[in-house]
Amino acid sequence: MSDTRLAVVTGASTGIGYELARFAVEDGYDLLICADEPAIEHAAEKLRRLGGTVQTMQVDLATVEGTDDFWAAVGDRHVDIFCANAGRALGTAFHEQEWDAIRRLIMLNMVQTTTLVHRVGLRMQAQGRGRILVTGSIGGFVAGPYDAVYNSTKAYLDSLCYALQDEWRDSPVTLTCLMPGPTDTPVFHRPENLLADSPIAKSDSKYDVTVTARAGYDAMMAGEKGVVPGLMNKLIAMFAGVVPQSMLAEMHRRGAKPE
Amino acid sequence: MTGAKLAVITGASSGIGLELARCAVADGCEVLICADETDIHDAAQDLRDHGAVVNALIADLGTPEGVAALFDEIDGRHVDYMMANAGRGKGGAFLNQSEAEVTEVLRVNVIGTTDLLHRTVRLMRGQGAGRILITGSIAGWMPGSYHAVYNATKAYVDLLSWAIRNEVNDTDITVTCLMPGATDTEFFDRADMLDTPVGKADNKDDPAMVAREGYAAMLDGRSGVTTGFMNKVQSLVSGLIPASVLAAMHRKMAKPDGSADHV
Repeated sequence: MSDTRLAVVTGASTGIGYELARFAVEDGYDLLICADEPAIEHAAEKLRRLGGTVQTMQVDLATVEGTDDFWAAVGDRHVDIFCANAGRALGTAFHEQEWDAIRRLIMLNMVQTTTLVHRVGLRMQAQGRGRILVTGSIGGFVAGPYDAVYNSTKAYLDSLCYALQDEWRDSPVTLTCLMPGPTDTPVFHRPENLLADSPIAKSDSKYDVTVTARAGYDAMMAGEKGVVPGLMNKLIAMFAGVVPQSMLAEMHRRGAKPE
Repeated sequence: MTGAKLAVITGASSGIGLELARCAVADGCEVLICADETDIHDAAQDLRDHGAVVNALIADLGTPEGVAALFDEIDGRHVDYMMANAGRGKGGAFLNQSEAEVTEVLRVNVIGTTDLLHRTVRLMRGQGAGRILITGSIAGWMPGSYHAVYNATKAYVDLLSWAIRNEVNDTDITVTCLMPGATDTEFFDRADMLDTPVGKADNKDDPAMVAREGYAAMLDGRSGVTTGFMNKVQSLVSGLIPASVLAAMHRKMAKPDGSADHV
């Protein structure tokens, strides 16, 4: 019996995922992290300097094969923390998006996340403990013209999280949904992302990534159900329940429509 | 060439889909109906017996080939109404379901519906007009303890409907989201939910009523319609109730009582 504990973080090369991995290393966890880009190795070097044991994998989780490969890397180890964070946005109007890009977005944000939460959920139930953090979004409360599929994928994740928390309410396994608002990460500026030309991408009022990830990490460790970091985001999440979707959609359009 | 309007209805072998096809036929439309089972031909014959011009197709719209087959059948014709209705449920605890069962719901409800809508919006933008009716659900506004993936897929569909509607608001295309509550169709049997309170309830809505309200809302170009009085109340208050409370409410409806064997 070793006394090391394992934290697994997907989409950890940059942004919220990297910060989550950093907090886990600082807490003394060994890490298994992945991303679909070589930058995962650079992230691992920085994390190792903090004293952590870091295993990396460059893998495309938008494919069934990639998801299986990554789960094979987890192996039969005890998983203490699992941060299902990998996700992308796409941007621009629905009919202007290519079907293959839409399909990949669904595969990554929904199918992959669901598959890994299912697998790690079973693992943790068998272990008798474990903590899961899913990166949803306040976008899941708001119809998202000019990033329609993205917001909908996050509505799926937010809903799934709250349902599973209820199913697992007598279980020692916790599941927390992190629902950030627009956060200052590379998500807006990925090469395949057509959001880059939108007001929200150019805005300098996006929420700080470290503060966002910290809120998610702390909520996960406390076993909370969900967390929306930032006052403005909390207000949006609150209003989203009472404002008609057509009005929310119009608000979203103003932020996301390419200029 | 009849000059009649063409209505395309997916998941039309039974339930709400078949009733939507009846509405379209009663409205004088020629219909193209589609389902993943041979029952679609019985449905087609039933509609023809009422004097309708009906084309029926067996296709699995959860596959790219199935969606492509439907558009091959449309064959470049002007589509007046597209009713994206095909969908599946799967009850029981998430971790008691197999991965294949979980991803099957995603494949049909999300990937298939999105592929269909993507092609439809492109087609109708080319036409310059058209009406789309999407069968979402009030389940989309309520986390679904013991029906978790299904409800989450409907959260996806509901939100997508409003987003696409907003994007086409400078065209003559309309997008309407039909959000039924529990409706008296084969859904609960197919979802293995006959041993749940919601599956056993005898006050489920009549699919003919649900379809009529949905069809009328589509013709009016409304953004969405929730069918059934209690469902309207529920959807009105769901925005005020914390998601965790909604999930606990859902548990009471959807948790199996153990009277059936779940694999």
